[in-house]
Amino acid sequence: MTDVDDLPCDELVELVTDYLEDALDQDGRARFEAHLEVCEGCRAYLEQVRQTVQVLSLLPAEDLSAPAREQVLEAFRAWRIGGHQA
Amino acid sequence: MRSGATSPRTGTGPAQDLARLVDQHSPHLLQVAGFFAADGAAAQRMVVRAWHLALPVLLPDPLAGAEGTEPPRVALVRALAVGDPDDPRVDSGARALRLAVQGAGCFVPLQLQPVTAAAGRDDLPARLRAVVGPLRLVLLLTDVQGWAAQDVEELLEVRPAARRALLALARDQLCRDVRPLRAG
Repeated sequence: MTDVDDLPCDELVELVTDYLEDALDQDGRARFEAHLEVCEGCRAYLEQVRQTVQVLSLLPAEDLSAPAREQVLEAFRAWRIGGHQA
Repeated sequence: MRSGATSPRTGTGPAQDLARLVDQHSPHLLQVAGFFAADGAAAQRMVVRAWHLALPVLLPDPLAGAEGTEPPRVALVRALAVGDPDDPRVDSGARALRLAVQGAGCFVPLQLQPVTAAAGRDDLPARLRAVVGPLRLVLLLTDVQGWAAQDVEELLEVRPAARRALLALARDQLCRDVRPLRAG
C-alpha cells in the first residue's frame, strides 16, 4: 500500500532516526519508503535530517590549552609519586 | 587552537601514554563541556577537573580504552559531569551536564514537533545550545562526535528505543522553525 494514510507524516517523523539507523523491521521500512515515494515534504525532511547530521559532524573541536594539559599531566606525575603507580 | 596537540612530548612509558590519551580525548570533552559551560575558560576547567577525577579509573592502564574494547569516553563524560564544589563556574556547567545525563533516563517524549526545515550552518552552535539539556547531550555525542549508540545508551542508562526517541526530538529541536515544509 503506497498511501500516506498507512503511515501519516507525523508518525513518519518519529521513525526517521530508526530509519537512518536501519532499526526498522522489514514491514516498517517498506511502509516508510512507500510513504516517501508519495510525499515530497517527508522526502525533504529526511534529506534535511541527513544534511543536518552531516553538518553537525563537521563542527570543529579545540584541544585543551597548554596550561590545562600540563595541569593534567602534573596531576598524573603527582599521583604516581604518591605511590599509586602500577 | 590545537596547542595541546603540538606541544612537546616529555617523559616515557605511562606518562607518554597518558599524554596521548589526554590529547586524544580532550577535544571531545572540551566540545561537550563547551555546550554546557558558561564560556571557554570554564569548559577548560571542567575538562581538567574531569581528568583529575578519571585518573584513578583510567590508571594504571591508561591505554586500555584506546584499543577499542572499553572506551574511556563514557567514564570521562561522567567525570565531566561531577563538577567542582570549589569552583562555582565549573560546578555550574557540570551541574547542567549532570542534569542532562540524569534527565535522559526519565525523559518521556510526548509529542513531536511539526516537520520543519533544517538548521542553517552559521548559527548551528547557537541552535545546539538552545536544545534542551538531555537532548543536546544525545545530539552532541551522536551526531557531532559520532559515538556508537551503545556507548550513548550506557552513559545515559537508557534503552535503544529511548535513545532513538531522544535523538529524534533533539534533531527536531535543532531543525525547528525556519519554515514548515508541509501542512498536515
